[in-house]
Amino acid sequence: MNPFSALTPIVLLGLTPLVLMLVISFHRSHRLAVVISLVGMALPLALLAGTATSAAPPLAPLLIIDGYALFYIGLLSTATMVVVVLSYGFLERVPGNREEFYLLLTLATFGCAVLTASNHFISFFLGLEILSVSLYGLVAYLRTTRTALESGIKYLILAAASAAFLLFGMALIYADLGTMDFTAMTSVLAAKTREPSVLLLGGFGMVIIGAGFKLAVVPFHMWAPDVYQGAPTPVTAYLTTVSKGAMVALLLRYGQYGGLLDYDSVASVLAVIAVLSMFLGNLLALLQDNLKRLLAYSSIAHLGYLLVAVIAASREGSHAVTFYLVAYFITSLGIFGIITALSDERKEADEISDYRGLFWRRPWVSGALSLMLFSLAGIPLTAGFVGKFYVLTAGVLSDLWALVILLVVSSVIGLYYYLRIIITMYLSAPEDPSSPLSATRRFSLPEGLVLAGLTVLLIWFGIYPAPLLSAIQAAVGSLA
Amino acid sequence: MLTEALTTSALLFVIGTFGVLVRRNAIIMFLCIELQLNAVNLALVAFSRYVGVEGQVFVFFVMTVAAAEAAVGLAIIISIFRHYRTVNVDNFNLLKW
Amino acid sequence: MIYAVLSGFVLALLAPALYRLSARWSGVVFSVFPAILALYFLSHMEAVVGGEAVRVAWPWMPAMGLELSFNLDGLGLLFALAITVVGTLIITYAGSYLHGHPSLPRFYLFILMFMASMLGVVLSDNLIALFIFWELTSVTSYFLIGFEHDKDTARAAALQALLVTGTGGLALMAGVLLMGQIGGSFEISALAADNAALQGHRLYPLVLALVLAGAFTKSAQVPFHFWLPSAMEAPTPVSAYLHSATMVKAGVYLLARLSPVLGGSDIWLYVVTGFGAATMLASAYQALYQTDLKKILAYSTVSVLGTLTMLIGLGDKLAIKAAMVFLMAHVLYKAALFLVAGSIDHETGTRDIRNLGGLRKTMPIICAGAAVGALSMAGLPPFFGFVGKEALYEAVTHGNLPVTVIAVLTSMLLFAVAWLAGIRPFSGAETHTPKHAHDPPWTMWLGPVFLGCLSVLFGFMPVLPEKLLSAAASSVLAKEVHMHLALWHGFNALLVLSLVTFALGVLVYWQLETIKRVTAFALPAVHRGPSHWYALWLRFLNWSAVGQTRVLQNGYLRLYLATIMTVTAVLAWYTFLTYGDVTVVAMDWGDIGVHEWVVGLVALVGAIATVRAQTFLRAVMALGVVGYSVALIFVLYGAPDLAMTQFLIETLSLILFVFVFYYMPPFKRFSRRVVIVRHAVIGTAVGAFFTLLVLVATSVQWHPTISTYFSENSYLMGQGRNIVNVILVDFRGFDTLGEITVLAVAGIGVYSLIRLRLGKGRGS
Repeated sequence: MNPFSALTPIVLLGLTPLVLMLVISFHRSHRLAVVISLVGMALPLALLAGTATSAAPPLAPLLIIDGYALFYIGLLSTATMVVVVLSYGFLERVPGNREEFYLLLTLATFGCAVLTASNHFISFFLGLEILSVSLYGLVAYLRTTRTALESGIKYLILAAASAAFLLFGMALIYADLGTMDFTAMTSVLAAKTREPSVLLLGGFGMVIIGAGFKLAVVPFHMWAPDVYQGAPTPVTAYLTTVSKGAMVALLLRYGQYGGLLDYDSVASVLAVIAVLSMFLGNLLALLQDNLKRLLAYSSIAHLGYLLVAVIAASREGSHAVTFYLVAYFITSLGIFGIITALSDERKEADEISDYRGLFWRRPWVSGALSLMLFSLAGIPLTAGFVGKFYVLTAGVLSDLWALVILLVVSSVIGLYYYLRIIITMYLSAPEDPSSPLSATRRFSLPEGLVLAGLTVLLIWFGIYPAPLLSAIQAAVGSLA
Repeated sequence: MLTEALTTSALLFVIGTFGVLVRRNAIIMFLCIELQLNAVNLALVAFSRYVGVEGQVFVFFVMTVAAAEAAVGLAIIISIFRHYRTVNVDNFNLLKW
Repeated sequence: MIYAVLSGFVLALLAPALYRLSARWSGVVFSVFPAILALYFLSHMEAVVGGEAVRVAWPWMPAMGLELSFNLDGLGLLFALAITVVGTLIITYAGSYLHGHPSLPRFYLFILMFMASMLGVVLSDNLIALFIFWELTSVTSYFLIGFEHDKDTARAAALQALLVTGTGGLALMAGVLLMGQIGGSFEISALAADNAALQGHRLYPLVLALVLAGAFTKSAQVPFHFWLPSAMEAPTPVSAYLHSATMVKAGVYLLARLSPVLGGSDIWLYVVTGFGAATMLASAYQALYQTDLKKILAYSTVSVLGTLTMLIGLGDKLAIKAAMVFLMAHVLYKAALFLVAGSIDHETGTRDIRNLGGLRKTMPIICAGAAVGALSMAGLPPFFGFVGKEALYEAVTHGNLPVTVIAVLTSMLLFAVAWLAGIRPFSGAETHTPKHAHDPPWTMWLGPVFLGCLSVLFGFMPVLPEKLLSAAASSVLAKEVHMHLALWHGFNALLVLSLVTFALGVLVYWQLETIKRVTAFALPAVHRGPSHWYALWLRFLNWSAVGQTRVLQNGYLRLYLATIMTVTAVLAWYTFLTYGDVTVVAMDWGDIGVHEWVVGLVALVGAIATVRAQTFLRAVMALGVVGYSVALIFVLYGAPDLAMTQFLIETLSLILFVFVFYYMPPFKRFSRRVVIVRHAVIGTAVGAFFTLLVLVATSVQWHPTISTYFSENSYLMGQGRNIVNVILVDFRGFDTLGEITVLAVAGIGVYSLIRLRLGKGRGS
């Protein structure tokens, strides 16, 4: 197979923002921009179906388009499509130019795709920066609101600083191993018999900082609640799913090739990060009244759970990570989707008190939201349960008893605050009829379809996960 | 020769880190991050003399990325200045808890 | 059989729609379904008591080696019948009890779903499936307890129940995973067949602890028992169904089911028996102090659950037999008593036993049902409760003395409690109640009467359930046993023990107030203890959450940065100091040329000037100096092309910055001095590490790999002599594309922000 045709999905993803840019400069139309971005994200998906079976073709050392990369590209672009649909309703309500939003969004996904297919420090860094730079713009997109600007500057400074550390780490690893190519690293590391040099360990540490920042795990998590709250809700959904998913994909691949997880000291650092994230995330979410902040904290905890499977460093671990991520994508997109769809011109529906008595006005919406929250809490019959179960299994198989037990203990705290939201929805409606949240806004057809689809997937993967599991096994199998 | 270049690079990085930590002005903080990137570039070039040419190639990318980041970063900082009339990060404290 | 379990879920989802068809008789309509299931399970009776287990399996998650397998043996059948028969009566009852309640359709949805999950728990042979159904019972019970969602107490109780059982459930999940991992299978039957590997494993105590945590929380064993009395906020049909007949027995079921797998060890014997014995006595004692009819019943239920746990812990043939008989007796009388309590509450408007009396005249049918239930609970002949108590005594007297004493004391207390709950409201003079009492409609007395009849029937003819109970005991013991039950065993030691119990029981009831006064000192210890800890724990969690949020997420960027850097420094230094073999090459200062000194120093001075700058222009200029010096160093390193690029970019950004910052005002220098010092310390720690690290780098053995490839091939393949150029242009064409894209993004970012500003300017 021609190596360049293997690149087609990524090239198409890269072309989408270019086409958008051209179109915007000649004809501004919100709808058109949405359609172009949807098509741009869907085209590579359609191609994926054809190429998914082919083996990884030899390519320039920067990118490797194997089944693993294709699976993640498919996942990320699907998630982007959901975000695009949500953004349409959101942007219709805000003043200002809307089309550039999609430009930045598709560009960010392009960066993510590069990350997932990256096999080299250069493509790692480039992909990450394409993503970051687009996200700066997206987070601060509502540049007339103070909160958006504040979250923008916070994200900007912290992301840039952590990128500098990441870069330094790459330089150190490069100095020690003499290569930036993941595949080459494997052979260099295999040839080494001695202890890892302090240079390599230091480099790993710096890379963990860079990756940890994007994943928002403790202690690199502090930006998350502020930025989640201040950013436009569709962007928050994007931050919590696509941006983290791409980084996880890269981390798995790098862990496999770059020797990241071969050393006890690195694994124990990651374990500490995982435990801190699980506990601190859940604890901080406990009394949170702002739903977006709460989800930021809960996402910190979920990434902690995920890290347990990453640390397991096994085939099952990689499967578990991927499945958990898919479940987490569905759930997060669903919840943020509902927040976006319920918000109106006057108010964003991001306070838990806004949801008081929602069940009595919008039974279907609150039913779906309850299911999503159950999924986050890991209650059976939802995809979240299967994911958590799979992660625990991976931990058990790799003899990570302590981590497994701690995961279980910290999930208990999680149960508490998810239930708190659910309880609020089933309370009787507030007496004050001028409640800030009208909640009468009808969902548009695409919004409704997307949310219904996510709910169905949530239950489907919770009851019958076999098809997804075998797809993941086929895809992740190409990693090793 | 490697040692000197690396020491310079390390010191530059440290000064940059210092600046990011100590300064409260968003622009200066941002410039200090640029300083850090410069330091890494220096280290990469120094390493690549001994390790291989890949480091030098990487430096090209770092430079462009730094430029891109600077442009977007400044754009955001400017719109913040227009809105708040200040770029002191201690004043941005609406989002908390 | 798989349809028998899963059809409940389907029907549950249809329940709200079906409800509209016949709101008036909805209870009767919905009760047809569990009745059919009950008949279905009865039809398997012949095969099961004959020792045949009915087993079906469906592949479910083949990728993980999981299948949905159901196994109907004696134990499963006993529970399945209890679930479906009591379910039929409860749903009939609820239709009238909750008649006109706006959320009645929701009630049917959850109670049917609960029933299906409960059937799943007792029929699953696969531990994972069992766990899933187990959690579903917790979730549905959460909705059922919190049914009166506008009552704060109901919500708090529901949350408490779910937190306690949910915690146990998660522990069980970990235990199940460990069990499957160690034992090599998730099928209970397979694990039971070969339990040596599991019991000999070093993690066996951990597995046991996790599983027991699940079972004890679910079955409300001390110290987790407090959630069950609180859960009495639920509507009475829910209490009758979940909190006496079915859900709380799931823990007992799990212990019974897993006793061939995990049981038989010393730890099992002492821990399970110990907790069971403590629970049975402590809660029977607590029951005395209650005045709410339902709470009295709740505590006595906890006591019975303790008895069952204790018997399963003993684990010998007699104990298991006794457990099965006792369990059946309890299902029959306790569900009846709960339904009676609900009827009293419904008809009189109160459940406080101090305000109730003389109801025998106004509610004769209910009174009859209550009397049978209470006498059976008290363990009087000729009711089935007597048979159960005799079996219990037979088992404990073959055990040891402490257990016997506890069993007798508990029976004595329960005797008094039975009187308190089942006889007292109907005897004595009539009292004034909020509503004028009369017998409820037939749907509401059917349950107690039917169950009462069974109590009497089985009491007189214990041979009827004998085979089923034998089959159940056989599945727990994993070997064939036959039991012989009779009302009259002849005049023996057991009968004496029973007579003593009755005498003491009468004494306790007669002198209730005195006994309460005398023993009240012990109450705080048992009563306040665990729920107090639960409250304290919640408060601690809340407090620490508030504290952490205020401190860690104070919204200041400087704290966020400082945290990241501190962690970096700590981690880095930890690695560095624990790392043994570090060679740092001392610098040879004499070796450095003057020009190098100058360039290096200029760069550093520029950097310091950037950090210290007081106007933007000065900072930008200083940064420019650093950039140009770095470019010069590139030249010294033989990378002129890089240097060129660096010069260009520096110049460009300098111009850009100057334009942008021209209008910016000067600014104050630094943060407060304390902050500076603190951050300077962090900065120094990080910095010193980096310096050391790069010094280490100079002593590293290099591994030239890819560079040789490029240098060897650049001329041959790329036709160029400048390696870097060849790489950029020929080998890395795509990278350059990426680079261009990055620049494009930058442009767009600036452009869109500028355009947006302009647009706003035009607008205003």
